[in-house]
Amino acid sequence: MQLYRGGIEDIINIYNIVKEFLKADVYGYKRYGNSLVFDFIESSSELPIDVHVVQRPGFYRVSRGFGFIHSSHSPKNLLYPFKQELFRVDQELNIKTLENSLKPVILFGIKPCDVAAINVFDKLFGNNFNPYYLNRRRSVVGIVVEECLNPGETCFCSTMGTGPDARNGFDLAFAKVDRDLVIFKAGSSLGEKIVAKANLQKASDDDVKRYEILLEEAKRKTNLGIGVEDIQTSLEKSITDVELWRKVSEKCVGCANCNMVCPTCFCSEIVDDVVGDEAVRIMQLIGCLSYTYGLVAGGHFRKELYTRYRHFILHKFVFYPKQIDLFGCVGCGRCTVWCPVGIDIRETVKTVASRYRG
Amino acid sequence: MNQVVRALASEEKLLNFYNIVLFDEITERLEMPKKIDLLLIEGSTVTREQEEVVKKFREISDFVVAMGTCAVQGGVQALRIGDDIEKVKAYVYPNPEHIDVNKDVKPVDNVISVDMFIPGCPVNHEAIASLLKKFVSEGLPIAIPESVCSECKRKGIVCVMVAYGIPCLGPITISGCGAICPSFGRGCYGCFGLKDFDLDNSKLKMFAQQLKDLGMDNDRFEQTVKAYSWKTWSKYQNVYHR
Ligand code: SF4
Ligand code: SF4
Ligand code: SF4
Ligand code: SF4
Repeated sequence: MQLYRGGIEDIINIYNIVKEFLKADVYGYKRYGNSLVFDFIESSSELPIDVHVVQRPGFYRVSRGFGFIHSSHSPKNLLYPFKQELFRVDQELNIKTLENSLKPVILFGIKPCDVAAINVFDKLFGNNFNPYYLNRRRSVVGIVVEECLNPGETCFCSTMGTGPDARNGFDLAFAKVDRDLVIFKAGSSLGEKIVAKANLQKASDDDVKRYEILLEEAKRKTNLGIGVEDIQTSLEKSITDVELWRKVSEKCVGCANCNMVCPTCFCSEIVDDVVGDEAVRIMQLIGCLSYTYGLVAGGHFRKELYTRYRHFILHKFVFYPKQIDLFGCVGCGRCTVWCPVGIDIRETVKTVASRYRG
Repeated sequence: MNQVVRALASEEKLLNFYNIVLFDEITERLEMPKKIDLLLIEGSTVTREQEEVVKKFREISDFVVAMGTCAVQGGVQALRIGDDIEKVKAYVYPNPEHIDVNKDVKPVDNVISVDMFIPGCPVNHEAIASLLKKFVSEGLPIAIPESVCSECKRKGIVCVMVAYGIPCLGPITISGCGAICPSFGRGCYGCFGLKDFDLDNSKLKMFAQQLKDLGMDNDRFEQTVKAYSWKTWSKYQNVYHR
């Protein structure tokens, strides 16, 4: 694949080009107070270019610098929002469905793991034809990815095969080697057009080499040292090991932050409200770590917390593949960073694998 | 009570459906009614007289709601439990001998049976409005017990504990407030009460340690949960050692 070179200013330039050229709203990571969120980016000054993030289990700190990864938010917050009004019913039982499509959208500076998470949603909701998702998804007219040459401490995308470089499903990708060298690559004809409009030069052999060295290092850092198939088979064998699952979840308090921040967790519940003369049906995200999940009339499927934590892990590595032939985990590490008690999914799968491998 | 007024005022038609028979702040005190369809009780019982009153009301009421953290959990007055009641009275009143009060504090359901709980200090007016609206159409709101964290996330708030290192009781506190404190960059202090599911002494101990690492010492943690979660806390307390 042809690589191009530019500088930081070219990222900003490309932001302006895609916005104008595609007449679209740009969504991506942006600064919000002392933290970062995924939201509408009004101007290039909001892009998290001079931002560094330190992320460890249960820990996230923003400072100035060059190594921004991602935040507790993700493109999920746009494509599959936490709360969606589905429809309203009036007293004559007329049903009004809400128009929930978006203006044309460009996802800008999202991460390779985010793209992988969108692929997971596409399969889940595309196959089941979820109109609320598909309306929003269809409004995405362009995807610009930032590769991670400086991955977070909790990232393990290399193990999951979802990063740290962009692999598919993007139009344009860029990677910050340093302040003066940013490597660009086109992933579609739209990407080629953007490259041409931005007047980017071809990268030299030396540029490419510097990029590849950093990329190899990033791949090494984001590799758990266990294969996904190993993780999968050992998890399958561990299902009845109550003691093990109690142990790995002993600090868990069932707050469901892990589910909420996971870019591929999609479970939701339906709540009905009465507003004036209308009944409103709302879908909101819920997590399988919440007590409510599995609570049904007359009983509870997973009353004990460890069974819910176990289900979370098993769904990602064992059940998603059965559902959609893709892993439900893209290795972004969010569940680990945003768990307030720092429960680490990498430790969990390593513990299970070391007991049940082979 | 402000939240109840707010709930009643939230929709024009709501008041058409209800006849308010007793509500000290907004009606004149009438005679004891013969029958009440929906009774909201605020506050815990701390005297024998209050216990008798609550029992009488139960007899004439179809549906009883314990409303607010005091009614549900005991409330801040539970802080005195375990101390000598005479000393506690003397802290507060110049002539403590005139004060007739029990040494324990009873959430409403320790005295009578309760049909529904709406926790909160203060309660969430939307929860009250939801009850008032659904009750007239012969349904009831469905409680969705979760941690405050889920509400944080649905509001799109950045977690103050993980991102800023602020101690937060949200992960162990029952949802319902709409994550008010974290919305303002503060940690949750548990005013809706400890979750009465999913926790046990060892989890609480580990969580208290986590908060301690962030600067909330164990005494402060225990005082806070005692003040807002007496009923649930006392269940764990027997098995909770530092
Ligand atoms: S399970 Fe954790 S690491 Fe995997 S995709 Fe979800 S948040 Fe990311
Ligand atoms: S891990 Fe849990 S919340 Fe996430 S998609 Fe699976 S069942 Fe749903
Ligand atoms: S975020 Fe952590 S404590 Fe909360 S439910 Fe998930 S694993 Fe448990
Ligand atoms: S701020 Fe508190 S309540 Fe909100 S997600 Fe973080 S720990 Fe949970």
